[in-house]
Amino acid sequence: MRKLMFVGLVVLVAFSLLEAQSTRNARHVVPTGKGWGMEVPRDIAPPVVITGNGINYHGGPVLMESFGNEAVTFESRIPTQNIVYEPTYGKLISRRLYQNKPPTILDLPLEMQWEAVNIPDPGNPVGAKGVGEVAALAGSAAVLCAIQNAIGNRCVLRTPVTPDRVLDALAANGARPVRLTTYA
Amino acid sequence: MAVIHDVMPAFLLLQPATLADAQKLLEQQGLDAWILAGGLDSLDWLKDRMRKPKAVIDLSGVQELKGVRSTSDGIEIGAMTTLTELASHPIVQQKYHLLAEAAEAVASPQIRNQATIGGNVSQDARCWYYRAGWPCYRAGGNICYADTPDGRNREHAILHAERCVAVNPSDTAPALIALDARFVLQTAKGERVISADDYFVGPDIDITRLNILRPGDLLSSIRIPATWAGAQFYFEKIRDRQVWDFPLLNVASAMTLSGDRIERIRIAVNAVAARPLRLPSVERAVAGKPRSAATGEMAGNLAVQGAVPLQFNSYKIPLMRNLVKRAIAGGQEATWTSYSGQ
Repeated sequence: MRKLMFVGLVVLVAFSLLEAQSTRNARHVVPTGKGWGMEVPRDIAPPVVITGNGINYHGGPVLMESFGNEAVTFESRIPTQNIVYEPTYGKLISRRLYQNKPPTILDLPLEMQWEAVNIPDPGNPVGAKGVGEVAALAGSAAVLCAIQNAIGNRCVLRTPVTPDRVLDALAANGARPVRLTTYA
Repeated sequence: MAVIHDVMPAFLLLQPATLADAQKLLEQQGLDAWILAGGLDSLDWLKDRMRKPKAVIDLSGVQELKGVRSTSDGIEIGAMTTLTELASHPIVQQKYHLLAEAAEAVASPQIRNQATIGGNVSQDARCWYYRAGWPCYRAGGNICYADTPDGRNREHAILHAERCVAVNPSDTAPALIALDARFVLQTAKGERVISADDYFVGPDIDITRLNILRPGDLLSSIRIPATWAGAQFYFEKIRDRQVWDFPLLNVASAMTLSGDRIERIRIAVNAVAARPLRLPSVERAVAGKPRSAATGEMAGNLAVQGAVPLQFNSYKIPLMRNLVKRAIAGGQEATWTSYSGQ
């Protein structure tokens, strides 16, 4: 019984803290000229940073860099990850990792860059926005749109986007006599 | 009760310490035996329960099958030599760099530490229908699921398809053919030495296997003659990702030059048919010609003659033409030719 009461108390305190946090005015990290928020050593990432007239969470540069790299890693799935279903039988046939090909370390760029956008999210009580895979979704679409723009109105609507699939999209325009059909 | 597919079937594990013992065990077990080299190919088969051998003969304890030895005419590579050891061996690097390059292009470092040269050349087809247990021709059925209007066949064959359209996935095989290697087999009738080209078979000869090994046979070593030591080599592998991937296509060539003219050449490609293909017509056509982009262009066009694409792999034709061109002229000389040039 005591144990139950203790757990209940902990849950109550947790919820009260959440409520307090949700009523706080939305703030966002202010650039200082030497990075985001207060100047911190790159290997130390304080979770809470005091900026101007409020307190905000920004995770620290190390965390941001880590998530930024994660976003690039997710986006690099575009050219390689190969999920293939047999259309007649509806079965997944790329079952093994050597068949569905998630990107490996050599498929990633040697140098990755990330940038934080200094605009708070009005839909969130603290103005926070997602990093990492959340950003990657938009990134993947952006890369596909860029390919689409580059080759004209020839649809590359599905991933993976490999060289033969881009050639296929070009050939499908009808200008080429060569059949290069690939599935996507 | 649910069927558990994630557990290997039980088998008798036999671990011989000598080649003679291994042969004796193979003879005893007959059709029930499964030879285990590095285990990279076997793992899938056993774990998916597609193969249920009664006895697995693990060759990892047979020291005679390991290492690279110098002989009076070149080198002899034990079938159980790992790809890492092969790729980093000083003689291989110095005289047969083609093979080192091909071995280094296989899969990933962790896999190369475990995978063996014997296993790499003897591995089974990687067609996803066949590996997933679909009852295709190669598996004893009466259909090829990849060769249908909707079949997913981007990675499949463009040449010598005969009912089955799976390709040979080895990277070292074309390099060994280009180096004129000899494969040493231990059979019930004694030792047999055959050329690398004859080791591999297509579906027209035997649709159930990619090489000539019969039950009870064992590949013990690979001999590479000094004929092509220190020649001009070219190896290139095209794959979807830069590590841990089977080839969409690869090419290996060894040539000697007399001035700027090609004196002798051997060239082979893989992942275009169920067996690695030596290209004798290309070899004959370029012998005596200058090593130039024009010769490479001619060779590339000749190489793809007779190629028949499936629904989704037509890109392999310009790819093969360009790789052969680059293998003849050198990567620096030959630029990629657009597919519109066909």
